[in-house]
Amino acid sequence: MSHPLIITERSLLLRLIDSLLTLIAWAGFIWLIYHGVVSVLHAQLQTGAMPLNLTVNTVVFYLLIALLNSLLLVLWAKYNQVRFSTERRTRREEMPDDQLAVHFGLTPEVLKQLHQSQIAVVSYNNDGTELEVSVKR
Amino acid sequence: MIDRIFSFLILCTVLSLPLGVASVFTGKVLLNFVFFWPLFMSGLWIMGGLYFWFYRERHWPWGEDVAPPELPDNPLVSILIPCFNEGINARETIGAAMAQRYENIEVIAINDGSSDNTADVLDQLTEQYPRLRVIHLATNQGKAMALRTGAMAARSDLLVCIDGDAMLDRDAAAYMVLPLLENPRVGAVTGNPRIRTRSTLVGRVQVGEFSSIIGLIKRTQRIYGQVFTVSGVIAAFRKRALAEVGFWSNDMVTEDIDISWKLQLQHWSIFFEPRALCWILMPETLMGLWKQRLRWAQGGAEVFLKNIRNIWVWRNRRMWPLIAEFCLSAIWAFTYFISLLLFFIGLFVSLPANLAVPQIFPPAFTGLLLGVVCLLQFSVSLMIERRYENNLIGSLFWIIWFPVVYWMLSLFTTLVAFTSVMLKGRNKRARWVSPDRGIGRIAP
Repeated sequence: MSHPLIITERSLLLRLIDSLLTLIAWAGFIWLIYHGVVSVLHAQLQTGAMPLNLTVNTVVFYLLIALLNSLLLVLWAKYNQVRFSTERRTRREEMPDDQLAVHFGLTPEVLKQLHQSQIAVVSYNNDGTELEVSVKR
Repeated sequence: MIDRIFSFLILCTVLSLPLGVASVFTGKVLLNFVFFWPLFMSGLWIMGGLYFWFYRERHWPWGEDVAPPELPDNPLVSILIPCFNEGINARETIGAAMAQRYENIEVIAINDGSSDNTADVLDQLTEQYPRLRVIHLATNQGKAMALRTGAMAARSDLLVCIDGDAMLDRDAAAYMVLPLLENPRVGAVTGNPRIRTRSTLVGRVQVGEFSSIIGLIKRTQRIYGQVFTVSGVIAAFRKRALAEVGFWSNDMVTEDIDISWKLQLQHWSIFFEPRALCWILMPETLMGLWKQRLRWAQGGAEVFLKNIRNIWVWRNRRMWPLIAEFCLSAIWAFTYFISLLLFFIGLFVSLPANLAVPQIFPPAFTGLLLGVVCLLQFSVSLMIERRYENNLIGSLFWIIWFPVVYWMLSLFTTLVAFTSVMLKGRNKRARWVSPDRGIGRIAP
């Protein structure tokens, strides 16, 4: 299917401002990464290899936490697959219309009329607890 | 009265927790939580998204030439479309619903006491589409009541509910009901909303946000087994599951979060179906986006308040991680707020050493890590979602905004909504709020 996108034409100035702001955001983002890398390397030059080792250790530690999380999630998903491979709850198969009518506060006849209608008007009282149905077509 | 005191106590706890942690430990502990919570969640969403894609999604055929899914026994599907002042959108919405390749459908538009020409437009459309049925509500009742009336009028047990300004993809209805037919324990299915409005920066940023965050969250929650909320704009329900939980509540600001919790508390499962695409209108102004997200946050806080006391029984244990995640996200927002407060106070007054927050930007290494994880999240979501939109990579340029926008919106909306819900309690009756639907859709 073609994507039904809506691009409302805006002034060139507004579009330029959007692009400029986004470029600044990218520059900030790249600076954040650059600053991180430079500060790690700088610390390494000053005090030998230790900080880099420390950084690598920290990253490995975070990765281990991420892996542990994923492992738990996957194990839980597998457990769910086994647990729900058979349905243990008994669910009602059908909801007959006369029960549904009682649920909505209608008589089965009115519900049937509503089901057969193409255009109908439904009026609720103030607190939405009682209703009237009139079929137009 | 007890409810009000209880919610006030929750607010006091959430506010005092960060201060207590800072006093007992240091301000640095607060900052660590502020930086590492997004990192932790991001890691979880990436892994959840990847696993869902690897284990399920990549095996599902998709493309122009793929035939619509075959539904066992060819059942009738009722598509419910509540409309409030949708005169400008109704033709497009109903046209897309009627163009489903699965043919055994009825479309029910519920005109919820609109004050524009929605009633006339819908009545005219019944001439064009014999399978279209229209219910006019004499007075405005709110989306929950409109949906309930639609469910009452529907001839089928399988309901696909979409908003009055949403366009279903050609096979969306069939994809939505297939999990209901294949799995008797599934009570609801949530679809894959795609954003149509892409004229402004605010609109385009949400394209990245919906793919990279919302899409990955839904996949992860599906893997976990419980879903925080269906997307109100495109969700399918089993009518008898809805009847069992008393249909949608009319006193909640967001009926979709509430119905998701009601169903899951009765042990009905909710599935996510990424192939059920639905093209939606989203706000394109900052004010519109703020109002919408504030409403979502308020809805989340209302559902939290409604369920926090009755959820701690063993039979509801599967919902505990969801409520824990909600609590931690709320605490995150308040921790960030308190950190900012302490930082600014520290600029003028000398604070005790353990309360001092020396900087509010992430330290260089953490900044680097956050940046890399963000890039990883973009890449994973693009890899997974590109099959649903050919030009998705084109939106990469704008995607830089989404982490900031998502976490900042989450921060401020949580602060405002959580506080207001805890102080005011819940509404008596929720009514329609007409949203911003993009700059091209401002009604004359």
